[in-house]
Amino acid sequence: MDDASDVALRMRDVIFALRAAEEYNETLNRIRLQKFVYLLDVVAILYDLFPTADGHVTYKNGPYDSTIQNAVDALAFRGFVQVVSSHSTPHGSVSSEYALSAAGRAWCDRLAAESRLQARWIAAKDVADRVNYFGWPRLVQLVYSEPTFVVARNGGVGQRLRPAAPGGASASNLLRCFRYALGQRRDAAQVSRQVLLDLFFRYLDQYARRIGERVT
Amino acid sequence: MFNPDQKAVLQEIISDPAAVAATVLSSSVEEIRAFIARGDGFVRKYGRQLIDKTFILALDETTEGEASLTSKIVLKQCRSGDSILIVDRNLKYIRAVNGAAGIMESQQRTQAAKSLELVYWGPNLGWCIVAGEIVSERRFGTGSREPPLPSPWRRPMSEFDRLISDHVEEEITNERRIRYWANKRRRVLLSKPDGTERLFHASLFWWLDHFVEDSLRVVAGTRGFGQDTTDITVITMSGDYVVEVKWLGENDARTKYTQPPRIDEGLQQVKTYLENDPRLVVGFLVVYDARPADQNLSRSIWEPSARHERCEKPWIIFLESDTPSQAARRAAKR
Repeated sequence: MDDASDVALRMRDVIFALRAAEEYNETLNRIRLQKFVYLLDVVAILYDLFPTADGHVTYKNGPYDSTIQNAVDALAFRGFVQVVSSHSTPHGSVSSEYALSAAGRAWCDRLAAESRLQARWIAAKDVADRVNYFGWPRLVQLVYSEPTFVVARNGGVGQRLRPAAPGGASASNLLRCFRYALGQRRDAAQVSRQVLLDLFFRYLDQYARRIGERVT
Repeated sequence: MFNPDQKAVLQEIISDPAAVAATVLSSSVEEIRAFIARGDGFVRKYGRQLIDKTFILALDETTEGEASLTSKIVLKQCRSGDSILIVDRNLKYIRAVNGAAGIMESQQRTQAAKSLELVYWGPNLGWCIVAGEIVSERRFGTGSREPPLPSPWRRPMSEFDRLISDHVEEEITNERRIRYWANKRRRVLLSKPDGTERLFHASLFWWLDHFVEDSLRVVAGTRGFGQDTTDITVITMSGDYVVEVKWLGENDARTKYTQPPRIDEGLQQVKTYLENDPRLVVGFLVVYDARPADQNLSRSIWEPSARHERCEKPWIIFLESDTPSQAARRAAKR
């Protein structure tokens, strides 16, 4: 897949992320948008989807995919995304809060209605629902607890993140453990996607608290 | 693989009874967690009034109750023999059903209905039973029933012999944490409130649930080979381990088990489990022996052909009834 295709796919993800957050009266800044889309890619496996692109790498503020920023810039340039506020950070950079424009919302509705994109839209809504449960201010902490990132960050900046990898300390393997341990012994009943999502986000929350307690 | 913190959190999440219940009921984990917390909170709040009362809070997700559950309702229904209280998620009372608050009955009911019940025996003991499986045993309150500090006893399933010896030393010897003698001098075991096997089973289940280092979760349930065959399964990332519990001797309901054939029957059951469940990697048989000491020594030989190749040799735990000085006197006489 070339760069242009990646950016196009990320435009869809950005639209879905901003719209899903909007349902809870939330806007997303550059960092939180990166985190939201990362979680969307992580849980995609539960919706029989593959991560959009293999672009997440470890960076200064957690997982980062440059195509996401390119996508939001392109959407802002075309009027689908608005910068609702911006301010200088103590580190000297500019932090912008993004939200959808009326045109962006209309485009989101059209995308969400397309059958081949519905699963991705539902995944975005489910991620927003769980983030909302644990609190939007904790979005970054939740992502910092994602198992693939926890292990990869030890290798420093620029480590490729593959949460869908089947083995090792990946999100995919974590979900496999949930399925294995909770599957019924006799009738091999499936663990539902909603339960897996609940458990996955509960895991992120508890891991963040465990590490946080140790730091403090 | 996962680092130790990741493994610890993974274990916490999977061993949470709400996770199992939500899986079976296809419900929200957080809502089930809140329901269990409400049930336990109720028992803690009204602990003094519920002493010696055994009752069940059975979750009904289809109906909404009107009034909050109170200790008055529980006491009134228990007096009239309606110990099964049907409640909604918010612990609003719906109705009471006639029946005893037995674990086995609860397992059968929840297995048939794919439902969740919280069983409470007074203010100190509680079980969460989901679709026939005991998914947690809780010990509330204070005093001698409080669990010991966990760290010294945490061991992997590969050290099962040490897990068992810790369990015997900390729980069983001299009835340290569970009472099992009806008549200690005559070596007669208790049968109440839910059968002799349940006494030992519950204690071992609790121990394994708390101290198996590499478990993802520990469950107890019937395997469909007969309603009295409740086993304990320890689920780990490297496969499942099954533990069968039996007892030998006599109880106050005049049930008597001898060897042969009791140990052989237990081995045969484990063999059946191992042959029928491909997820099981190893089987164990733990036998609590209330027979006189001479029988424990002379009649504990089991039939080798009854043992599956992946079943460890049975653990036969002699239940001491003598004080050290009595034991010394007895030995001197011999």
